[in-house]
Amino acid sequence: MSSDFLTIAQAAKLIQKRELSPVELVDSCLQRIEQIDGKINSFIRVLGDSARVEARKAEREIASGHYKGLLHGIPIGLKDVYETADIPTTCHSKIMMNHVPKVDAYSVMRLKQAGAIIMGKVATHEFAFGGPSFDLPWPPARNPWDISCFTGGSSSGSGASIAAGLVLGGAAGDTGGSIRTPAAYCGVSGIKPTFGLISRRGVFILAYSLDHAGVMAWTAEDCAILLQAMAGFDPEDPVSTNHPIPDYCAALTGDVKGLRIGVLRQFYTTDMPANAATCNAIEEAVKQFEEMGCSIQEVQLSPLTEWGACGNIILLAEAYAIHEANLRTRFSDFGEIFRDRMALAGLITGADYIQATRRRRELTDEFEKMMRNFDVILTAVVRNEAPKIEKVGTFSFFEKPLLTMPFNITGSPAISVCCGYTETGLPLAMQIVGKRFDDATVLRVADAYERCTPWRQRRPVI
Amino acid sequence: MKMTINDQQLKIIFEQLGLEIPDEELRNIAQGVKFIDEMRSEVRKLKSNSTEPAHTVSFPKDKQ
Repeated sequence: MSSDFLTIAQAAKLIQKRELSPVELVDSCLQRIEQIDGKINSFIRVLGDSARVEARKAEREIASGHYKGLLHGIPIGLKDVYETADIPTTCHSKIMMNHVPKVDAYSVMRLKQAGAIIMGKVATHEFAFGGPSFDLPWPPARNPWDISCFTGGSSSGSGASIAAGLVLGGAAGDTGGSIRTPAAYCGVSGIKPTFGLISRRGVFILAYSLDHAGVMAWTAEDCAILLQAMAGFDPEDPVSTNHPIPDYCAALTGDVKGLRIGVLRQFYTTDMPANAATCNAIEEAVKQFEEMGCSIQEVQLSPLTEWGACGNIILLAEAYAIHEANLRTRFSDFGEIFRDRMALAGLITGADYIQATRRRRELTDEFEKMMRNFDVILTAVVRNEAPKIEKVGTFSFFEKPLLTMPFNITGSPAISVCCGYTETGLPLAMQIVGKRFDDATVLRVADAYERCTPWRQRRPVI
Repeated sequence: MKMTINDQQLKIIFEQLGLEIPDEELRNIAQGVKFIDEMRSEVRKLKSNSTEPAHTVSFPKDKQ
């Protein structure tokens, strides 16, 4: 059987039955990286030798009856903000080019314990914020569905490498949409779990109170497998939550009958209108959920501009605090997009930040009250399909509020799921958002949708 | 809360922040000041008492 374009779940089944060897799978991925990555620039560093060593080790372990579970022998990529022992972790920046951590990030350690094989470090926007940039030590990742298009960011390399079938999944991060946007543009699934569910120890963050470690893969089922391995309390991460971790895969029953879905059309039809293709694809998904036995009701929240302002002020102030020292001494070593956005962040005052955190409390209360009547809500991830990469400007981040930011503010689990394609073949997406710590329901709804629609059958031709 | 500042004033602010920004780049950054203005106006809208940490202070509405 060809190992190109297997999902994690499919590969795991074959590996478990010893019909596919981890060595064969890793070799196949490395061959695809060799053939394809020159076009999409998804990798900063390929770890071919160590991946082959780990694959042989996994093969021996499995042959001797020590199968660790669904990630054993599965090739994955790490956004280059996840620290890796003895391997440079650059944040896609000249500033960090020589940074070689001594230990793995806690969540990387957990992935390795689960048997996952690290294929390499993948591209990001500089420090998960400045991109797509052409003045960094590595080029920006490109969209496998059309290499003239933007991947979305900041987990740009994760979205591109998974869509292209170079890896089967990956660990990424999301401050205002950095998992969900590239998932949407690259046509993969990506979940920003509940705040604090995955430890951030050893993950270079963009903004203290908004950053969520999360996962991306081809399907929601694969996201559930990755999340299972990475979620869990870490006493050494101050924001890690000591909350019971359910069996996410067991939650994927395919049955969503009786679930209450709120449709948040206001965000993408009134506040920040999406294009017709996106709106139509989401409406079709709503009909699909009705046919599956869900109850549907339209919901409303405060205007998206208020969520956007609140989130952006917090993000910019917190990010500036992290980078202040280097901005003073090494301003020109940052890429222009990152440093220019950060210079503007320097204009934000303490009072601005406090006002934003006060507003955050109100907005979060409003969202949680609304969610008392729903299991999940459904809205858009982005306003349109992937734009051309050269059209994304320095201040694009500020010009229009992100449809993803509200759920970083609330800390709620939110997944991006492919819900169709444009006439030109670019992916379209919707966002499914749940109650805090109810990541299982979000994954269940996303998985049920993916199972009964044809969108997961199509792959990019590169 | 509008920051009606010209390029020269912006340069001074950045100097106070310790940022050395070439003039050409400063003019580009100045294009983004309006976005910061809009966002800070947005977060300064009237809020309920629940957002004051101790839930005690409430200014008369006509003074805000």
